[in-house]
Amino acid sequence: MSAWLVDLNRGILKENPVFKLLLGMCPVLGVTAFAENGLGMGIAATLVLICSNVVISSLRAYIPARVRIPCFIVVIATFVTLVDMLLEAFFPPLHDQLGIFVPLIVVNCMILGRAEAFASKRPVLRSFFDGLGVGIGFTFALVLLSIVREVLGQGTLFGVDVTGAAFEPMLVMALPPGAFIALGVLLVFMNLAFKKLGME
Amino acid sequence: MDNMGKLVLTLALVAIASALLLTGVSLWTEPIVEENIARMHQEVLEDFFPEMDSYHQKTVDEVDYDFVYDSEEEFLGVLALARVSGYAGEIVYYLAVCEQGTVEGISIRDHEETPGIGDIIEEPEFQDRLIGKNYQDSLEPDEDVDTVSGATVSTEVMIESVGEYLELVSDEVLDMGREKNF
Repeated sequence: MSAWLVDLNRGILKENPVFKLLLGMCPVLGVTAFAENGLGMGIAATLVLICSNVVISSLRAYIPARVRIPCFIVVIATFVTLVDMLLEAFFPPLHDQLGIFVPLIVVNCMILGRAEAFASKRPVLRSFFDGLGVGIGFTFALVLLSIVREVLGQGTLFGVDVTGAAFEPMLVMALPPGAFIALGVLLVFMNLAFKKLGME
Repeated sequence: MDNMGKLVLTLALVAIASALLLTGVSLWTEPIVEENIARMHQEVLEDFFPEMDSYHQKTVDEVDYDFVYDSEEEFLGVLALARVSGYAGEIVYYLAVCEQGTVEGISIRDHEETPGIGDIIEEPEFQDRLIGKNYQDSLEPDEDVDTVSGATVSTEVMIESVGEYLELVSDEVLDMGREKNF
């Protein structure tokens, strides 16, 4: 299998940043009360991840090892700020909903981690697919968790009522404790699924 | 010395490139953001003053007001752009006061309150407690208007702020509007 396809797939399941590596937990717990927000955050983080991976990979020959971390952080922070500015201009409601979690993408260790472990050592094309794969895996995890939390906690899915009038939403699911609980249960199921698929 | 120079130079170049890129994008998006704010302003005016035909902007004592008139030039009320220090940062909101000094509506424009907790100030379930209050009413937090437990500071600050702006407005501003004293 060609290298780039391996790079792409790895981030989605085998090394899923949330279910396997347990990275980037802050936004995972913070923005997943609504499916739309989970999706929006996943896409924003994926954009930043791809852009920073590509730039860092392109510059890897020129950045001395001793200043690499500050350089990576400047690059990542630049793209996060760009995403924040573009969201504010073109998607104001989403920007308001995601609020402070967009700037927090800078310290999402998933992004710095990929830069350090992969993009700084690999060619640009492979870094692009690595970023894309990890981003898709992250978004998948976010959307999955937010679907659970929105349906149980609000009775809606992407804003559309799916449970009917008789269903009394579990308020705890919309709040932080519910996020932890839902994530824990989801991890159990994902581990079982991985076992079945032979991907421990 | 040489090595240190290379380190500093690389980091400086990366930072400068970043600054240039961000400045460029910022220049591009700033007008769009301003346009969004202007559009929201219009929508808020139309929401709270459905009979509005024209309005006149004036700043009094450093507060921006829109003096609203209907098609017969009758004074309907004012829309104030209010600011208050919230729990996490500045809260900027529109306060619509009818010409008799009663709160017609509140619309939060910017805030940094905690998502899911302090942002209850945006919800009707909190704002409704202030709608219909007059400048002559007492607005003591928890005595006259209930705060929201878990978001005490955010809601208390809003209640006090609305009380202050009502007093401010009822003093001269409403008179200015009635007499069209601009």
